Amino acid sequence: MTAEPASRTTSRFRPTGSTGAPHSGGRRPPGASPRPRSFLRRLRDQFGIYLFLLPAVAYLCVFTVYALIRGVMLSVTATRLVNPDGGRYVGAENFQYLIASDPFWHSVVTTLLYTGFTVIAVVLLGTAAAVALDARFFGRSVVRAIATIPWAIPTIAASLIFAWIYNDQQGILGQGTRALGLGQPGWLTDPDWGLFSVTVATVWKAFPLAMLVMLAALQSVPHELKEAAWIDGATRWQTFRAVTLPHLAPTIRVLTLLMTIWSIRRFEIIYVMTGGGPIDATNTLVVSIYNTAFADQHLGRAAAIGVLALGLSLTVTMIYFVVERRRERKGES
Amino acid sequence: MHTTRRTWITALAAAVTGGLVLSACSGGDADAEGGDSSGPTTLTIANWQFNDTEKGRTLWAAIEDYSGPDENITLENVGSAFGNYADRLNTMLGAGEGPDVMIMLEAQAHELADAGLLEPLDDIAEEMGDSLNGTNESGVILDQQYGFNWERPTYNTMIYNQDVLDAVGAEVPTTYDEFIDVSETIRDSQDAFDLPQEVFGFAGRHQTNELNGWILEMANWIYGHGGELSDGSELTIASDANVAAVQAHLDLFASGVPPLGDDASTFRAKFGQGQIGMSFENSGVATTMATDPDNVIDGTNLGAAPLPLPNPGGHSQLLITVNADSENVEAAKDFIRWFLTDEAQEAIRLGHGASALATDVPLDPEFAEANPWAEQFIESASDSRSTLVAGFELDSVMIWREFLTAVEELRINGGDIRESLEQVQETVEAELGR
Repeated sequence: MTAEPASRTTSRFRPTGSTGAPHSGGRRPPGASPRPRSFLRRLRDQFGIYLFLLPAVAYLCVFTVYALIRGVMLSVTATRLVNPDGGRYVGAENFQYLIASDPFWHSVVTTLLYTGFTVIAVVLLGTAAAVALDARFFGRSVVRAIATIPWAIPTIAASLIFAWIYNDQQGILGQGTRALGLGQPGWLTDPDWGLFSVTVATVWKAFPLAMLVMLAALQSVPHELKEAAWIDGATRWQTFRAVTLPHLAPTIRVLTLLMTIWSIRRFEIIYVMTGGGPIDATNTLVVSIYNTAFADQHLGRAAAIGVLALGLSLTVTMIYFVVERRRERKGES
Repeated sequence: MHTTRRTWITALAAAVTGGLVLSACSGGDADAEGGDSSGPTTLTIANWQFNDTEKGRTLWAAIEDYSGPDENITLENVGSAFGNYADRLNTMLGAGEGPDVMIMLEAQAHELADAGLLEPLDDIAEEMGDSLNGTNESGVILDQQYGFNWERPTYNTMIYNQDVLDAVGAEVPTTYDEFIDVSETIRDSQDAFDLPQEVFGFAGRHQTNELNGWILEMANWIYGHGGELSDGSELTIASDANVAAVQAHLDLFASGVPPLGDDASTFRAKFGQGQIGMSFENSGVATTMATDPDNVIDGTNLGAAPLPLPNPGGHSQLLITVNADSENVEAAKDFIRWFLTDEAQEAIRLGHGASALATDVPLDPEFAEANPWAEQFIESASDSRSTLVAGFELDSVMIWREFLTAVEELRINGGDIRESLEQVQETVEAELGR
């Protein structure tokens, strides 16, 4: 193949390096710099793109941006739930109250503990389950299907089932520990166990999603690389560490970020099982927002908690992106 | 060809987007039914009870044929499940929407009346005069009548399983000491029962994850021991009577008598199956338990007696109210007028079982004969008290939540009751900016 002469690029196809703007008449002299397109022309060219984006942007503006702005505005007012437009501007009073409040900081710590334990357990369990179910064995499809059931069960139903499992009197868990002579922990009635019990239920409910994501990621690991490692005498563990894990790392990082954000804002499973109790042991920021807004009717203060919780989520997200950016600069996967 | 297709798709997207924007911008008055009081009008009425299986059907059947003075009214049930009922109503009314007529707990009525979202009904109270009983005082908020008694399921009553008491040879307790004796006798006499499961002397709520229900039950302990959470102007959370009440509550729950960890639905199911001796219960639940054919408890072995405490206890109060922002305020008020007539009160009586109503309409004779325990609830409703904290009505739930969280902490971790309640008082006062 030989390169085509420049004179043959005028009819139908855009020559390399041109702007793609149609000629308005006559040919531009060879070597002339491309004429800049006007703003209106660019707008006209891209109008369709913006039009297609408009529904999504409108949705985001109404249900996210407006809600966010309204939440921030509410957070500096004293507003009751039943009179949302009748709030009184109080400046930073709500934030000052929260920062000086022990229960608020207890909620922050509870949220961090719940999020930390949940994310670590979900990602580890999900990855382990994915690796196990990636291997070939008889009945693999059935086991995969069974393993996804917790994710498919509605959260409220799962919460009620766990509440029954944990029930002090009839719960199967208590019966088991009693039969083993281990006594009867108050799974949902003892503050030392409350957070643990809710975390276990959350992990059970959330790990199948992590497993499915990791399973998909495992499919992308080139088999030739594994084979090469085996030929070089690597053990299964060494192959996993040196070949598989580096391929999974980006997925694990994204999964960790998503699980962290979801855990910070998780509500139903905690509220249904404990309502934030016993003695505030599971009173995460989101449960606290609900109780402040709907039980205490302090919409302004609840919004202030929401703003601070948003700050927590944003901090986690920013840390993720900073770490990601550094990795990119270093050329790591 | 490509250009033409792209133009069409772009135009379609523009049309869809425009439609979405227009529909979002259009107001909520598309459904303006019932705006004209002379034409056919649909009156929306919200009550979570209509969604209950048996009771809901009976109550709805009692009112659904109402057609108003001009025979132009149709009722529409827009209630939701109890779990999110109050939240939904608050958010709807806060946005200027909501049903025309609403049944709600009195705490919510105080919040909504304070926000100007309920229609004053003083003219109806005046018209009805002496036909209304004292329970309607609960509907007087800020010196105006904002609601009438839809149902008062009083908690000021102890229900008991006569078979359980008979099995251990116990009499119905009338004092607190007798109550403790009987409870402990049941706990210690498991051989007397022909059941594979343990039989408990008493059961009650004791966890903050059932906050609203526990408030109603704890009020029995506080009021029953002569306590109050306020004197009308100042909080009295750490008073001697309250300390004594909390001490009694904690002692009982530490004695092994009640099933720890059971929520209300669990211990009520146990009561229905003959596994609970006594409970401080409300009339609605007693009616449901006694009439459930799957239960071993029925009208013959269910008993009801005054609380074995020195003073009367609390009650739950449901009020019927009118939405001030309704387009059908007059039609809604006509419905309230009808609701307070003897005809309507008799019609809803069967659905409400043993609860006190807005007028002194007697129990349904057939029901009363099958359920001799029911009359006690009517008597108990006459002196039971609201769980709203006097002088702090709008912050009642918050005050009770702090109080009950402290009680829960004392039950689990122990500690000095007075110190703990003093701490609650400080916390609540700080919260209220006092």
